Amino acid sequence: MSAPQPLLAVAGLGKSFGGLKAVSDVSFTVMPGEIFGIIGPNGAGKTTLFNCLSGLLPLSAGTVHLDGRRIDGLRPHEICRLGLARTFQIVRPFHGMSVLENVKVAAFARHPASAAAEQHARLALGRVGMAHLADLDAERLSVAEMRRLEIARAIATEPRLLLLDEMLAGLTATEAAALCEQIRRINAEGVTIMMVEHSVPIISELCGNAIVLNFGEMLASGATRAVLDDAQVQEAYLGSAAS
Amino acid sequence: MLRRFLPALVPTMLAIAGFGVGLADPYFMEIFIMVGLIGTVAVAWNLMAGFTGLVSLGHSLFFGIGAYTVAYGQVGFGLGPLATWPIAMLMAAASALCIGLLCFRYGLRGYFFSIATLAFSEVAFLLVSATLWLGRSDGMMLPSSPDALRYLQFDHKWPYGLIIVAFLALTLFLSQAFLTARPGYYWRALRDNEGAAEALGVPAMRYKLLVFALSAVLTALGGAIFANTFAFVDPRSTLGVELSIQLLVFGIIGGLGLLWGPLLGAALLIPAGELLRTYLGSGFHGINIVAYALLMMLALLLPQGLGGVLGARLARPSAEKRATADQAPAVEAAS
Amino acid sequence: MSTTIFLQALLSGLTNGAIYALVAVGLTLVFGVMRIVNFAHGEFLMLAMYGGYLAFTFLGLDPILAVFLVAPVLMLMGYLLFDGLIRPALKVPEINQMAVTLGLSLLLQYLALVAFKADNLLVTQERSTASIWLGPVLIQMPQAIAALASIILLGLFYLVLRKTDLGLIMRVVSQSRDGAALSGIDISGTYRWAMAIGLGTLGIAGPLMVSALYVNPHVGQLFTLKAFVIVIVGGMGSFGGVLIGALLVGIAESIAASWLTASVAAAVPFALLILVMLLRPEGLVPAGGSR
Repeated sequence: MSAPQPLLAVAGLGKSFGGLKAVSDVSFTVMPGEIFGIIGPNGAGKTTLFNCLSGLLPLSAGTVHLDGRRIDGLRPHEICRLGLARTFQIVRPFHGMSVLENVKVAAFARHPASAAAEQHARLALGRVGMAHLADLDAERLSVAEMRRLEIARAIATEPRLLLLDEMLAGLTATEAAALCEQIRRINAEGVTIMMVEHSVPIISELCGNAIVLNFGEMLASGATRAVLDDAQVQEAYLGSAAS
Repeated sequence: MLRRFLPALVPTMLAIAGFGVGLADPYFMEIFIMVGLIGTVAVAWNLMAGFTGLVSLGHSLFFGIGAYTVAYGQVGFGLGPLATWPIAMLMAAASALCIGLLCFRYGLRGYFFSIATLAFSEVAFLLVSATLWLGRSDGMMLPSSPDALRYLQFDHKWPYGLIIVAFLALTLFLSQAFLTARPGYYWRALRDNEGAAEALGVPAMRYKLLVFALSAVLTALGGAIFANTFAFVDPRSTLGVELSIQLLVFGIIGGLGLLWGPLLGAALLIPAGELLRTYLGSGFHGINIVAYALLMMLALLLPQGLGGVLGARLARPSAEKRATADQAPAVEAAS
Repeated sequence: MSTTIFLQALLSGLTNGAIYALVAVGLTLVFGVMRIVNFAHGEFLMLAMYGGYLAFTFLGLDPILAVFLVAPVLMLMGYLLFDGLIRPALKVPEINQMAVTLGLSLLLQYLALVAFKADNLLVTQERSTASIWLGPVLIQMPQAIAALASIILLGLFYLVLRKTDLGLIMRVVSQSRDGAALSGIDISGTYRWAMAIGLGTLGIAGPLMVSALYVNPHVGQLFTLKAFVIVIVGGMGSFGGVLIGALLVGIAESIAASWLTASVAAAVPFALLILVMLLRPEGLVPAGGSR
């Protein structure tokens, strides 16, 4: 039996804006079924990394392989169709649409027929516990609910890999716990997850493996506990251990 | 099925009723024809502008393609509508795809896209005005032919009214079919947030080109019908910027978020203009001053248009839903 | 085409280009700072031209002096227009903004029709028929004055943008409005100034142009469209781009006019726009900057 194939393989990824190196020489792999963490202070390049992975930004260097297939250079919608979905930090639902319709847009990626798309949209809403809010005007949701809508939209595209960009920021302890539970549930259903988070306790709790970014560079990668205990990482986080 | 096409069915029924009235009153029929024709073109225009967020200020290009293809097809080659209408629609689709590819490839959006479309239609206007075999600024007349039916030449106005009812119905039902299926959702998502839409699997370029081509084809059909109805085409009435602005005005006043919004705008403004012209004479410009002042105020104060206000009354009340949600637990166990 | 004709066309083109630049610079300033396109821009030029005509006919003012009367009036109009119309317009969707400024454009055209009728008017003075020889080519006096004034004013404009505080603030706001607001800059005030200066430039161009060009209520539309082409070709929001764009448009138009029919020559600026979109879509001298 051969070794299991990584779902995501990032090699030497770099992104520069003119002279500014937002991300440089980042390499890691994500195995199917795991929850993978990306930690780093503000401005470390975490969102830029996500933008590169999801195709929003072209890479300046390096490659990205999804399940053995090279995806860097593809358009965002093609990457989505291949099974990589992402959420955005600043959540803005589609204007003038209900919660269900918002998710339906995403469901159409796998189900071109309207009825099927709607059915699967409801399923996705159910998976984040928002089925009862389906007909609500999406712009009237609370922050926590909008985060869940964002996740519902992403999972409606039936991804194999889901990128979550700071979904827990600014939530109350109860809301955050509920969302973590939902994330675990989704992962148990077979979706590999990569999450960017500030909160070290959450990363320790949820993520088996992680990488740490600082000023666009990778400080450490590997098992979460080991990464967090790494000397360089400790130094970078001095004074900001838990947020 | 019925519910899905209600927004197309009701205006169609009203149009048929209007046609009925026009049968009794020829003057009404003339107004009905203008409203039906330009209003329907405005609906097609709005698929791009209101639903996809691509405001074309050069839509008269496609109207002109329709009109001139019919005119020159008949004058130059003796072709009747059976041949020239499909040709016109094909040419319009091809133009839309070319212009669209150019604009979207370079990410033109918002004002840039609008001005670019305006530039294209202006080039067409100027070139046609300078082309001898297209009649230059004087335009072309479609000559009478003994083979009247083949060339859609009627002594009365009402057959044209009938054609326009068919055009209206076709446009409304076809548009609604697209709007309630995947394209409609994709267009609205693109209008709102192209980045988020693409991340959710929406192929932006493909769907923008789709709406552009669809809108152009329907507009060209309108132009073709115009040529046969009035038996005369000239740059000013078919390629001018005035027509493009009319579409925008009808859309704003009637409501951009609705399928039938621009049709409502046309139904309100065209007869009003006619009435005022009759009572006050065409030399009185004061009317235009008032009209445009009102347009501006409406655009500022009532962004959803008059149709939007109407539509809000008919839309599902989400207020009650909010009350229910407030009482729902913060965490709900999923299935 | 003989060299003389070519050179003549070139000179005419440069002259016109300088004038176009002055007309377009206001448009690019307003867009750069406020991100709104004023479709009625040309109509304010038209009003300024009428202003110059009236000052000459009823007050006997030489157009050059009329500038000192008309420009402040236009600046005031810009000031009032901002508070009355533009500021509320910034809050509505782009398509509604278009409807507002387009509506304004048509409104002003009809107002002018009522006030001035449709006649073509021109300021004619002794020097209107005078011309200057530059080697083998000729330039008419009114055009020469207008072009010279444009160049001087563009130079002044550049100095204001680069060397004064107001200019710095406007540049900052056009680069990043949110950043500027966070730095405590009065955004509304800056917008107001931009609008006032944007229309003020028209107040200078107008009186000078009416001694070279006929004015009628619809003359504005032509200029608005040309200004659009110039601003996009040069790169929206870029001052240097406007200059280059204007000169290019002027020259292309002029050479085409001496070669082809007037109608076709009029299409040349638009063809240039399409060409630039194909080859260099960000404009020739993009200003860059984000919200």
